[in-house]
Amino acid sequence: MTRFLLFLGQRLALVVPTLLILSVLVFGLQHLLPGDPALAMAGEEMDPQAVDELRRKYGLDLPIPLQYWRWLTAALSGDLGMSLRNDVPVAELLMGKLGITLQLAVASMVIAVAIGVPLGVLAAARRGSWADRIGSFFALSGISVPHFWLGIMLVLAFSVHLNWFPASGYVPFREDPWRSIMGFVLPSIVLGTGIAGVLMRHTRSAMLQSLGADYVRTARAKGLREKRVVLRHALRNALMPVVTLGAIEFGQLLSGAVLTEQIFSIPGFGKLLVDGVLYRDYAVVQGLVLVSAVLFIATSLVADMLYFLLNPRLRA
Amino acid sequence: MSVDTTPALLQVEGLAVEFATRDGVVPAISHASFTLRPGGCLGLVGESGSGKSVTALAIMGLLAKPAARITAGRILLDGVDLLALPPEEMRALRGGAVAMIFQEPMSSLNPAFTVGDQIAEAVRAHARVGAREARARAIELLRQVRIPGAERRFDEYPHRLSGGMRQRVMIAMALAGNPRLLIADEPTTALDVTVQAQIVELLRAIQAEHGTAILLISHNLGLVASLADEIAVMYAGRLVEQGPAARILGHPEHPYTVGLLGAVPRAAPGDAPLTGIEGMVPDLRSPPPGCVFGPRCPFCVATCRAAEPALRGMGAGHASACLRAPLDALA
Ligand SMILES: Nc1ncnc2c1ncn2[C@@H]1O[C@H](COP(=O)(O)OP(=O)(O)OP(=O)(O)O)[C@@H](O)[C@H]1O
Ligand SMILES: [Mg+2]
Repeated sequence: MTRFLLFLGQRLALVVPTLLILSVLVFGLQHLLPGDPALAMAGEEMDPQAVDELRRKYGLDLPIPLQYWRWLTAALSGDLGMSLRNDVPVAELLMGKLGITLQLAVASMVIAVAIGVPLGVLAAARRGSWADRIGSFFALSGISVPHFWLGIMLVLAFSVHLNWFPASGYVPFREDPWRSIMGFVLPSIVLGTGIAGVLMRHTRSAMLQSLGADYVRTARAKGLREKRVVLRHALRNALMPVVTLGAIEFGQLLSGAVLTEQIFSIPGFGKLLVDGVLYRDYAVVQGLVLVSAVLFIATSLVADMLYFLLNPRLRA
Repeated sequence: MSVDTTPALLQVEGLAVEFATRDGVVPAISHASFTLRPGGCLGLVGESGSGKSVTALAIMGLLAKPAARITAGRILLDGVDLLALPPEEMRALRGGAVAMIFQEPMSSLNPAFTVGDQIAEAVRAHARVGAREARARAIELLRQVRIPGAERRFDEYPHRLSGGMRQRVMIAMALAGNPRLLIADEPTTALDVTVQAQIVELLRAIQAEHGTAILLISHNLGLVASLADEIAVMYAGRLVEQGPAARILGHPEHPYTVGLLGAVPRAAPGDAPLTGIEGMVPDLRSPPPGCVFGPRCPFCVATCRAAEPALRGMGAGHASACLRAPLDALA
C-alpha cells in the first residue's frame, strides 16, 4: 500500500510540470492562430473604437505574460472564459458536451476491447492458422479504413437500406434512452473497429512474446490444459502493455472524434472544436484543448496505476 | 545395455528429431537409445548444442510444435509409447508421472503469480482437491524442498526469491504430481557453486526418499558424477558412449568423453596434452563423413571417416561408438 502511494506520488509530481508546460502551449495557441478575435467579434461594423473597447474588455491589450497569468489563475478556479460566439461560460459549454463525448468514448472502447483482445489472443495461440490470417486482415482493415468512409458505408447499409439505426442526430439519454443508445451504435462501431485493430495487433505480439517465455513452458510442463496456459499464464503478462495502449487510445477518444462526430452529427467535443476554430472562438478552443489534455493525463495516470496493480514486481 | 534385469522405467529407442529451419532441416537427434531403471539416475552429458534439451523435451512432449518433428523411434514409459499417446493422456502424464525442471530458475516461474499459487496449481492439475487442500499440500512441498518459512513464502512473488530458492520452488512444483521420473535439465548451471551443492543434495534426498528416477542433464561431468549411477554421453545428437558411471568416469572408451573429462589421453599421436576439446561442434546439417567426432579426434584414422561407427559393447554394460576403442591399446 505504501508502495502504491509512493508510486502515485511520483506520477503526480510529474503531472504538475506537465500541466504547466501544457498551459503555456494552450495559451500560446491564441497568438499562433491567424486573425484577431476582437475584429471577429466586432463583425461587420469594424468601428475602430468598438474594436479597441472589446480589446480592453477582454484584456487583449495587456502584455502577454500578464494575460497568461490572468488566464491561468482563472482557469485554475474553473473559469475558462466566455465563449465569444455563444456568450456563455466556456466551462459550462464543455461540461454540457463532456457527457456526450464520454458516452461515445466508452461505447467505442467497449467495442474495441471486446473485439481486439480476444482476436489478438486467438491469433497468437493459433499462429499461422486461418484464424490468425483473418484476424490480421481484420486488424489491418480496421486500422487503415478511413473513418469517414466506414461511417458513410455503415450509414448507407444500416440506416438508409435497413433502417436499423438512425443515420445521425443525438438524443439525450434522459429524453429517450433507447433512441439515445441506438444513435451511438454506428459511430461507436466506426471508432471502435479502428482501435480494435490496433489492440488486436498489440495483443497478438504481446501474446506471442509471453507464449514463448520460459514460464509458459513451465506451465505446460506442469500438465496444465492449453486453454489455461494461454488464458492465465500467457495472457496475464501480455495484458500489461495492452492496458497502457488501451488507455492512450481512450485518452485520444476523450479529446473528441472530429470526423466521426461530424458524420453522425453528434454534438460532442469534436463538433465544438470545429465550430470553435471556424468562428475563431478562441476561449472555447483553448478550454477544449486544455480539458482534453487534462483528461488524457488523467487516463494515463489511471493506466499507470493499473499497470502497477497488474505487475507484482512493482507492487511488492 | 544394463546387466540389471528390472524392467526399465524409461526406454528411449532409436529417437530421431529434426528441426525445420529457414536454412534447412537440422537433424538435432539421430538414433539415440538409452534406458533408465526405476529409482535410478542417468546422467546425460555433452557440450552445448549436443541435443540434451531436445531429448528431454521430446520425452515431455514439449518440442516446439511446427518446427520440431520426431522422425523415428519410441519413448517408452513403463512400456507405454509416449509418442503414440493421445494428447490428453500425454498432458496428464506431464507434471504427473514425468516432471521436469529447467536451467533458468529466474525466468521459469511466472512473475505475475505467487510461488504458492503456482505450486498449488500444479497440485490441482493432477489431483481432485479443493483450494484449501492444495494450499496445504503446496506448503508441505515447500517444506520438502527445504524452504525456510514455507507458510510465509507461499504468498511471495518469484522476484523476491534468489535463484536457488526459485529452483527449489521449481522442484517443489515438479514434485506436486508425485513423479516417477524427474528430468532435471542443467538444474544448477545458473546458480552459485554453494547453492549448486545444496540443489544436488536436495535431488539426492528426493531420489532416496521417494524413489524418483532422475534424468540428470548437464555439461558438467563433475555434477553428474556426484549423482548418476549411469552415464550417457551425447555428441552432435548421437550417443557416443554409455555405461555405469564408475566405468565412464574411470575408464572412458570414447575420445570425446576423454576430452570432456579433461584427462590427458594416454596416447595422443602428437605431443601436446589434450585439455578440453579443440575445434567446434559440427554443423548438423552437413555432418562430416564417418564418425562425427572425427575432425576433432586425436585418434582419427582413415577408417573412421569411412562409415559412422555404431555403439559397441565393451563389457560390463559399457558401450562406445569409437572404432578405435579400447583406447588403452593405442598406447
Ligand atoms: N527450436 C529450435 N529450432 C531449430 N533448431 C533447434 C531448436 N532447438 C534446438 N535446435 C537444434 O538442436 C540442437 C540441440 O539443441 P539442445 O538445446 O538440445 O542442446 P543442449 O545439448 O541442450 O545444449 P545446452 O547445453 O546449450 O542446453 C541445437 O544445436 C540446435 O541446432
Ligand atoms: Mg539445453
